[in-house]
Amino acid sequence: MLSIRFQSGQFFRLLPSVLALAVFFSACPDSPAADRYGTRREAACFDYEVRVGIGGYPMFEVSDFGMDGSGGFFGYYFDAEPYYRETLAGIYLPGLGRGYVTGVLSAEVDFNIKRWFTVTFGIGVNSAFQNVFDPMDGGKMGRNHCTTVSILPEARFNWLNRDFVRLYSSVGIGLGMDVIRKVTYEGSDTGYFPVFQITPAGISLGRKVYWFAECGIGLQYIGGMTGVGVRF
Amino acid sequence: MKRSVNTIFLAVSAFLTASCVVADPETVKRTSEGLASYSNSRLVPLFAIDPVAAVIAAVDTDTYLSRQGEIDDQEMASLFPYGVLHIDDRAIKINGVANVYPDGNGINTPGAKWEVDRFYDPYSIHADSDYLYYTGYEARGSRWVLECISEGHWNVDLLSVNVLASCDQVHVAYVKEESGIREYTVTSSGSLTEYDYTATCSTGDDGVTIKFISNIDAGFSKWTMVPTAGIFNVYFSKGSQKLDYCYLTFAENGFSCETGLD
Repeated sequence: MLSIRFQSGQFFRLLPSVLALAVFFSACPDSPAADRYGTRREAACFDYEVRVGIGGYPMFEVSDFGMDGSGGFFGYYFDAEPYYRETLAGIYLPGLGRGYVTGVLSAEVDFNIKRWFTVTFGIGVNSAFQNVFDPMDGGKMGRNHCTTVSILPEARFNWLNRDFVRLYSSVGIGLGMDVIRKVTYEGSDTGYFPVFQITPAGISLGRKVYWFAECGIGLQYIGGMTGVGVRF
Repeated sequence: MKRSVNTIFLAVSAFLTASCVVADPETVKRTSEGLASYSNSRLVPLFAIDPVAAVIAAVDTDTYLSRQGEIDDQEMASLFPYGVLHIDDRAIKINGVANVYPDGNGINTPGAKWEVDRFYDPYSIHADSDYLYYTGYEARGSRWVLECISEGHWNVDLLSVNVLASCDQVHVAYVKEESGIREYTVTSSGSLTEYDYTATCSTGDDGVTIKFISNIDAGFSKWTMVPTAGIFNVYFSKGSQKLDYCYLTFAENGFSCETGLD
């Protein structure tokens, strides 16, 4: 039996190559789909899709899951006891600026297996950051960073698949990783976590090039996501 | 036209779905207000209020023990609104306040040494009182030894407390009682360390005046202890590095502070 085992670093290095190969083969003019559906094809008649999007409220940066003993990445500055901030040491905690997130930037490759069923492989990236200020002189000490990456295979169910419009729902399970760097901490803190994601409703408008919007809930993001895609 | 509509549609969608700012800033707590608040709510209770509270508990216990059988219900309710329990022949527990361990001599007898355990019992049926713990300040839990040096004057030593603190040269003196309000002065110095930071504090030579108000009709807070005169100086440091200072000056209507910060 052939088995392939990747270290996490190898997997991330190989992923762009896999995606590029998938796009290359899906774009061949003599693809089976082209034979079946002719030159002007409906949305339902493409075999492959590639799409990118942005949106969602990233869970991990703003939840309790991000760092032990804290209120998340934007919570307590130190992984400290609950009443640390009420102590004498709490007076000398650094100040924190506004906390920002980029929103989840996603890219995915889709395989249209059936008219009603699509399998997708996606990657989502979010960055969160916050300036840190010295309690003694108010000067900027640096910036805290948290980057989250999630790999998310999904099963997508196209419950309306027409010439120009597609309505769908999807469910997925994958793996996430976050890397946290904080001012005054040496090195970084890396964590891994399972990712579950449900998209109750999504819509795409277009044929070869299309726009999509969807709402979702899960550990990759909560809220809405939108973007564009290309079908082959 | 169609392209423009698509572009606008995309931009609006992205704006509606992607949120950028997700956390409000947290300002530095090292401000004049922050230093004053910490000093008044954490240090003054331990180094000025609690020694006086221990003396008052002992004085009331002495009154109760020396006049057993003579105290009427009204006076008893005034002294101990939540009642007392006898631990043994001499020691008593003042519910919601402290355990008091006399040495057999009156508290105003020179040389007398009493212990007062200002326990904190969150499961007590008098929990509301425990929270404010006899003084109007949050409970700390401390054990004190009182030694009478002359009538109305006591040296008070801190035996233990549930924080890393040391207290030295504490002296409590009775001043007067008017309209049911008792007045004491306390001179003390000591330090409290939390994590790597230390606050060293002391009263002025004249001490801090503390007023003790007991009001059995005042709902859950039956006692209040208020600093009404004197100064209380605090120096903040980390290791050998001096960080800040906070000078509190008490008056009848509150306190003012000087910190050197804006």
